[in-house]
Amino acid sequence: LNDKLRALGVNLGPEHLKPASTTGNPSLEEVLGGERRSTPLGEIFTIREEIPSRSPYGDFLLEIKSDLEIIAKWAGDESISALDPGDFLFVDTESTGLSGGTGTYAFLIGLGKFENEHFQLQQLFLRDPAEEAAQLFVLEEFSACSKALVSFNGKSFDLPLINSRFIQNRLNNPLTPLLHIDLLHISRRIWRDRLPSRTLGNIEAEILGAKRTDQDIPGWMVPGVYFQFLRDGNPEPVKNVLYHNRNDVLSLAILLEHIASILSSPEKNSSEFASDLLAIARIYEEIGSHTRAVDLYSEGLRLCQRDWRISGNYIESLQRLAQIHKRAGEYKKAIPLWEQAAEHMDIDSMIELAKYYEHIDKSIDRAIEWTDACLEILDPTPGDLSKEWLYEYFTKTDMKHDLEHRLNRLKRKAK
Amino acid sequence: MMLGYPGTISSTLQQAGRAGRTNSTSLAVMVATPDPLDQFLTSHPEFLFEKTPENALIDPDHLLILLDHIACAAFELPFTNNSKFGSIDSHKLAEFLEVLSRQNKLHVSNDRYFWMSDQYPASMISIRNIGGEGFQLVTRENGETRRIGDIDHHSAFWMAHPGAVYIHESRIFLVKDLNLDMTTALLVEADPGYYTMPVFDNHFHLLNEDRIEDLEFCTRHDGELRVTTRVIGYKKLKWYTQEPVGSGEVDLPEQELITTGYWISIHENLVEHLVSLGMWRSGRIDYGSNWTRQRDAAKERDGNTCQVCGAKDTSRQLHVHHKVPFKNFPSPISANNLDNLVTLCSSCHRKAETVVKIRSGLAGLSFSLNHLAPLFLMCDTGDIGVHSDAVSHLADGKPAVVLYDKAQAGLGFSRKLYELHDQLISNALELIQECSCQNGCPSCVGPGGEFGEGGKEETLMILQAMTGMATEGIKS
Repeated sequence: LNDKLRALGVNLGPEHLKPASTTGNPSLEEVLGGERRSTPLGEIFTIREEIPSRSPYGDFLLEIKSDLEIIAKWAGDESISALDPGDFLFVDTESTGLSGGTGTYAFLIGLGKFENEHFQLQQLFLRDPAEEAAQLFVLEEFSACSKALVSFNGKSFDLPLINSRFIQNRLNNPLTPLLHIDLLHISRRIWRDRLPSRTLGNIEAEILGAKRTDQDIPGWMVPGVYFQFLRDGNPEPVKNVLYHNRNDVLSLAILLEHIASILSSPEKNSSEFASDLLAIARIYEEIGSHTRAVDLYSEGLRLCQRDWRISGNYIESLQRLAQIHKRAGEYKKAIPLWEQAAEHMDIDSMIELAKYYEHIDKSIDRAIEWTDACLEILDPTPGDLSKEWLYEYFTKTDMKHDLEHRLNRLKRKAK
Repeated sequence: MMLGYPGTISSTLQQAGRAGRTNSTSLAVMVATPDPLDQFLTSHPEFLFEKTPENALIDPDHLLILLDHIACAAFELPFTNNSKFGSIDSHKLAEFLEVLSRQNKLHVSNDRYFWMSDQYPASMISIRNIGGEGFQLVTRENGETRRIGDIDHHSAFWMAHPGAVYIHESRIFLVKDLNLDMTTALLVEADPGYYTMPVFDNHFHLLNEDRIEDLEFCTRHDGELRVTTRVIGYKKLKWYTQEPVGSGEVDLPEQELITTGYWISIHENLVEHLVSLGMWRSGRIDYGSNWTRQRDAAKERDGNTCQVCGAKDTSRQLHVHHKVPFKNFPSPISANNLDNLVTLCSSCHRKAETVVKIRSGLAGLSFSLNHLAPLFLMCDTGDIGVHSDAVSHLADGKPAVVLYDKAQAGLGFSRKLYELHDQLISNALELIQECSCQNGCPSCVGPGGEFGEGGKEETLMILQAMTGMATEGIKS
């Protein structure tokens, strides 16, 4: 077969079938500091660490003390706010492939929970893929008292991966009934306009003030390290993966507390960053706390104006706050906001003003003025042929058509 | 309205079905092109209306397909030592798994094979072609190189050689360069008014004969072949009329293809019969402008002596013979190269030419078989290679027509054709008989045969004998 395949142009890889020498390596226990554990489903290698609660990590302490009400509402499950710190299971996996699929393994599962005044960290490492059933057994054991998962992108990646591993091993997934807080989405929401990259590593560095040492390795290199380990059995490079995973799990705990604290008292924690406040205002608006949202929008906008710093969500926040007032019929509060946005050539707000003067205030002349102003700055011809230009062209053309229609109507009324 | 046969019955029915949905009445019209298949279908519409759609063939046990399939399956669920896969038993499967382990795609542990690569295998496999590193098709516009598509390694040599007309997304390009180191083909958008047909120099080696059956005046075979192919040039054919308008030469290395083939060898008694009917005289050929000069140079080099029997100029009239037949060259200049010429006396020349003349019938036979094959298989004429040889290694020196799969390890086309032999032969006979041309045309035996004319009569003779239609006078 080899000869036939070679004749057909298949690259068969190195000539010698024997893998690189697996002897002469130091033992895993020696290098990684863990231990073998026997389970009814076989043996597995685990690395355990007990970190006292309230130990410092970056600029923060390892603890859960803030009110979880807003996170609970955002996550859509109020029962989260009633949870105790010990109910959370922090999960992060390292896998053999980043694209997912049934042939991808979680060769390392990092777990953490608060228990007995300590943060209990446990990493379940597959010395060989055949140990997977034992790994899942320990995962089930560790999570026995947990009520909610905390992950970063776990809803799309880690949990579906773990679930398919349970299925492959014909075992029930004990994590299925648990609540799940995926910190990725809420982090993106809060820091969208401030951080160019909202990966866990970057949030850790920029927000939590935790710097990793050069022991850390980038995520895309992780599968390669494991494949090399399977071939040569040298545990040395695996150390870096364990370090990476350990810090990810600790960051989850710190990040949950930090997000809970800035959501429960935003003015206290985010006064430095108007954009954070405005983003949090929007979260309040979306969970239906309009009164708090109005206060936070106003405070955030005040900060922007005071510092002459126009954040990326400034115009959007003016529009949203004005919209809340409009819905409440409080046009007097909405008008100055639209006017501020109009100063920045925001056409939507200008149209809102035209509508207000036509239908509410009934001053046709001012409505005509605003409509004219819109038409003056609206140019459907695309500036550059970007990907979205066609969409933009049609949107603007529609808008122009509506405005011309409005102008004609206003002129008729004016007569 | 369909301009030309879409290539498959299923595609024809699908295209026709797009008009007149639900209860509306519709009319579908297919306008036939001069292609032999189109012409055959116009006189045999029952093929479209009564035959079941063609066999869509894929050989699941094709080595390369199988290897890719096993990789994808291994990703989904680890194989164990006792696993089977399709028709592959556990022993054979283990060999494949060993190959994948060696490629570091699988990790063996506890008699199980775990997927151990960060690549998702299905995304790495092209379902359009198999084998080899492909070529990129690039264009250069305003100094900027742009990749417009890809072509598999093997096809690049005959579809994208320098001078080829290449159609991509209904745009017509001329290939300027085929860079083997960079694996790129440089294209320029232009329509020269013709398309190109590569001219091959093929050599066949029999690796394994799987099936063989003696039939009337011929024998059908199938088996594994090694085909070394060199594209030496190309013919320029006018769009639509397929009229030859010129040629070009190409300098590209040999390609090796290990594949499956189906070949028909012709028995000696039929050959003798054809000879006795006086069909061996060579037709008139235009040997090109330098022919007279080259012919005289060859005679002079050979000392005006027949190189077979040693006869001198004085005793018999001397001829100059093309060792490799004239038609195998893209242009008269290359055919008339001194290395390809040899001086023979008229008697020895006649013997040599007998072979060549039979070949003319073989060329017509292979042309028609090649063009009819897509009627039975869901494939393109270009997916099947064709070759005729008056002295074939594949049949102990007997004349033979070879059809082979133009994909590494074969896709099952020729195996199927072996089984369809009788039908294929009788359809070819009908096609040629019904063609209203005098001496052969692009719609039956090919664009004028290799001698610029004829080929039809000879092809008909062979087919009539094979189908038992006209066997009178042939020695049994």
